[in-house]
Amino acid sequence: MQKRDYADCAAGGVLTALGLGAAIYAFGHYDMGTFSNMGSGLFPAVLGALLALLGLGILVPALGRQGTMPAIEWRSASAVLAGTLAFALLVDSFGMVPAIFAMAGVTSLADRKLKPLVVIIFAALMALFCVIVFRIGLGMPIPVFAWPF
Amino acid sequence: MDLFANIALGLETALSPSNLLFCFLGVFLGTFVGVLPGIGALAAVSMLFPLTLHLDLTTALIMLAGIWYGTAYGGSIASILLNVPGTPSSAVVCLDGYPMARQGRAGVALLMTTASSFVGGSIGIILMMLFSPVIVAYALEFGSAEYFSLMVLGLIAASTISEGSAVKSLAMVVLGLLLGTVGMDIYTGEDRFTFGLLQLSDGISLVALAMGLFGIAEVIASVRTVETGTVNSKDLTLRSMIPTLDDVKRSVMPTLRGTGLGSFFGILPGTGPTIASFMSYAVEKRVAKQPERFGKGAIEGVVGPEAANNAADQTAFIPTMTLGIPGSATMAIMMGAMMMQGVAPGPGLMSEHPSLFWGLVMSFWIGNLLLVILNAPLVGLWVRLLTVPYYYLYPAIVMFVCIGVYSVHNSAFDVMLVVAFGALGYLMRLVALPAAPMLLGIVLGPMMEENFRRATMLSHGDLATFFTRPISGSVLAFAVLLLAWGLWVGIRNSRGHVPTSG
Repeated sequence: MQKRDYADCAAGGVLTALGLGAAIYAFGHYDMGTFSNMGSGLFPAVLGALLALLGLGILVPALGRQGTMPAIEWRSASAVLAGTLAFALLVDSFGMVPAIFAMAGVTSLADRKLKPLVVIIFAALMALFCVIVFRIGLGMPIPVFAWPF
Repeated sequence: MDLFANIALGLETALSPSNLLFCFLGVFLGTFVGVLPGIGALAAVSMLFPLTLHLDLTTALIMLAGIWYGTAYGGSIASILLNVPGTPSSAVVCLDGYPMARQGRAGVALLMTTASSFVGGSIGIILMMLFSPVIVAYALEFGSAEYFSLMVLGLIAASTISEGSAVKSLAMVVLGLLLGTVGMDIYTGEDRFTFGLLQLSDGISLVALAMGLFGIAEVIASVRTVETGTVNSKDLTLRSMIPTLDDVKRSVMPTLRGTGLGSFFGILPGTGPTIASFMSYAVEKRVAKQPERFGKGAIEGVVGPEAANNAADQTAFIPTMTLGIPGSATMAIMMGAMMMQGVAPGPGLMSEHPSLFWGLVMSFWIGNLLLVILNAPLVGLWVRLLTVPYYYLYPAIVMFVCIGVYSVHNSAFDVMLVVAFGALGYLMRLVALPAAPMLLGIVLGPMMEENFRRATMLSHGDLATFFTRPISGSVLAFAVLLLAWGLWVGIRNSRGHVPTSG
């Protein structure tokens, strides 16, 4: 237990900042117009202000309330996100198969229950499945292998 | 009424070989994913959604719908056999389904849930057939002001009725609406909030958002928490599924009551199968002559909630299809699928695309029938699936997410968006900010803005138009009441007066 509900304080604070930021940005960059002929900035500006208010509605009560800090699973989060990112970075320049191998290798670091050799075999099976289903079966224009240089 | 002509048209569409095949594939994949731990209905629908973009629209919707109600069946299998709900809406089924399994009556529980789901689903479908034309007749008279007000009501209902803090849900709705404004403004052609990124001028990809928030975030949260169970499959012979006469007698009324509750909560925006099944359990416990049997394997506590969640699954389509206003995040994805293929759901849908509408409705029936036929012989397969360890599952889930998102626009940028929304979704989970309202917001955002602009243009800038038009005014009044109630409950709870619920 902590003195304040810091988790909700953070959530409310970030939302308030985001809302204010959006409203100010919309106000500064886009045309507001009038209600009978609305500009592109009016709707986002109003939404931003509303979000800031609701953010305060989360932040303020949390200041006077005890709370627990949630534990972040750093390992799972970074492995899964990095695995997805690896796919995104590799798929266009190296092709689908290398991207899947990289994704599987990085992602399975999340709990390290699979031995490296098993990961390689598993990745190979998944890649084969994808080539058959997505490339051959559905005919998606996604390169199987590519070479950027 | 030419209801019968419509039914015939629907059957003709739904029974065409390719639609039948994809209906089967949908319910099969739905049950498959529903059984697997750690993937909910929403994640299942959004993961398999890109696959359907390559199909004809009617076929695509039939398959997506099959996935959606198939997960409910799969979820209850996991609940009964393992005491682990595969999907939130089948959490209640654990309460009495698992005790039944421990008494060696898993077979009976499975068969009776299948039967009551079928009854619940069927009645839901009939309601949809009867009520949709009526709602459409009214909706054709709605103008922009009415639509805007209805959307406001839908969003407020979705955030105040669902569990958790109303302020948090509302904040997420507004964040979703704000994200919905990203991209080119349809009126002025100006790019908004794209910060020079060309890929954003079409708006944020709905698929990327859904997969990040529901796919990747769910995987991160599940990697270390999902345990693999062990099931004794020897008890599950076909003979063990035969219920006693007493079981059947006890099940009739709970099934009907559950169907009623489910149909009602399915139509309302923001509620849906999960709330319907919890309500049904509470009702059954209250009306039971021996409430002490509940929690120890009472069949009433299994069939009622199951009927409720399947009826709700079907009736949830009514507002989506007739008004174009999705009541839940899953329906928002369905709507996204339709819009990406160039068909806007709404009152015009039934008259402009009758074979799509009626074909979809009739496919629900065929799908539910397929599930009944599928479930009995395949129960052995489902049991084996329950024991697949999560460390094999999660790389496969991530792979489907990556390929799926990439394939929609052949865009690696969209996969990067998944990374961003995955991180955001995980952080939101940690601080208990719900992701579903955000998805509703991003889908409804552009439509709300368009209707708002059109309505104020027609009224020459007079905002009173939303309140003085009778339908729009009463809808908004109701929305304000609901909002006040939601906030009041929130304030009361935060002061420590937690309401006691049965």
